[in-house]
Amino acid sequence: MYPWIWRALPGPWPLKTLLTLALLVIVVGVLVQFVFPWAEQALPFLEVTVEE
Amino acid sequence: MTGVIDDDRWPEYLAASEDEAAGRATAGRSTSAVPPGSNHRRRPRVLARATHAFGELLLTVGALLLLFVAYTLWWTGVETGNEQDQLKDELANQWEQQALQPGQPGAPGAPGVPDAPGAPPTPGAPEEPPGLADVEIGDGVAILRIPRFGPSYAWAVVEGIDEDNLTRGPGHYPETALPGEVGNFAVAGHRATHGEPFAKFEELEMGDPVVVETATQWYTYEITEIDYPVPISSGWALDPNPLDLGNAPTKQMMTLTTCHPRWASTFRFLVFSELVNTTPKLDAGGAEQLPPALAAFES
Repeated sequence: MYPWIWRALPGPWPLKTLLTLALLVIVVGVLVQFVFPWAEQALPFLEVTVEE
Repeated sequence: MTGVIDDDRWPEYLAASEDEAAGRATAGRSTSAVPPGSNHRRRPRVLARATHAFGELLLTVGALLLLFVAYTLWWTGVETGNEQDQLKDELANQWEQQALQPGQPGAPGAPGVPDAPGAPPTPGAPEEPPGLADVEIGDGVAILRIPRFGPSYAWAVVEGIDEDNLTRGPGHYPETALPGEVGNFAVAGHRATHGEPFAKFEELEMGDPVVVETATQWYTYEITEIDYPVPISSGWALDPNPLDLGNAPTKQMMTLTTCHPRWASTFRFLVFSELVNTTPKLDAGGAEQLPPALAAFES
């Protein structure tokens, strides 16, 4: 997968590196904003309220 | 040399290297196993590809897990810190505006508010606590300080106990009393991640002060009971009179709830406290003053 992405990116290697970093930022952003908050619900230490 | 880079996944690099190798070969001694100009491509190596894919998968999963750990232990705290800054700004603005309105209940000199610092708590609280008449879910309610945790321990309490609220700071159970009211001001907070305001609750001791700051007042509560572990279904802790169930509330109580043990939510951890002191933030002369429990932090 990673070699394929590298080949699919246009331009010489400095541009490819830049685009790779941009892709990484986007992926981490999506993870932190959407995926991790959702996955976090499964963690056992977030329930702190008492119930009837 | 060329043996290292003959992977057919890198055609551009391969082509360049082969040109280079060919150049070197014609220039001098030929040590390369690959004859110059030959199309050195192997048959698809299924096993190698599968191994490669599996390795990538493992690396990806490992990186994801590390990121998730960093998110949980570090980033949630950063986010909560930002939310806290925002809540405290909102509270400061709101309190400033209320202070400008003359005749506001709870303003210095208004009925029901003791004028002298250290005055005993009024048996019947003011009809309506100052500035908290129309608090909505997501609003800041008050600022919570626990002197045992140091002078920088100050958490803006948010209205509501949904996950969305609790990621911003300790949350006030909406059905329960407000600070200073007769009844039970109940607050839930995270003990791990998201700023973990209640992380060190096991260090609390009986008699420790817990100070709640509102628009005009410092309410100092004193811890009268610490209960853990208790079952999740300990809804009685939110009762207006939690330590004397079944009887009409007569005291201004505060209940703090969090999870126990810290890294699991199998049980709950309860801290009960009772109002012992109400100090107006401005004294009769209009000068700022601190409650006795925070006096030690005054610099």
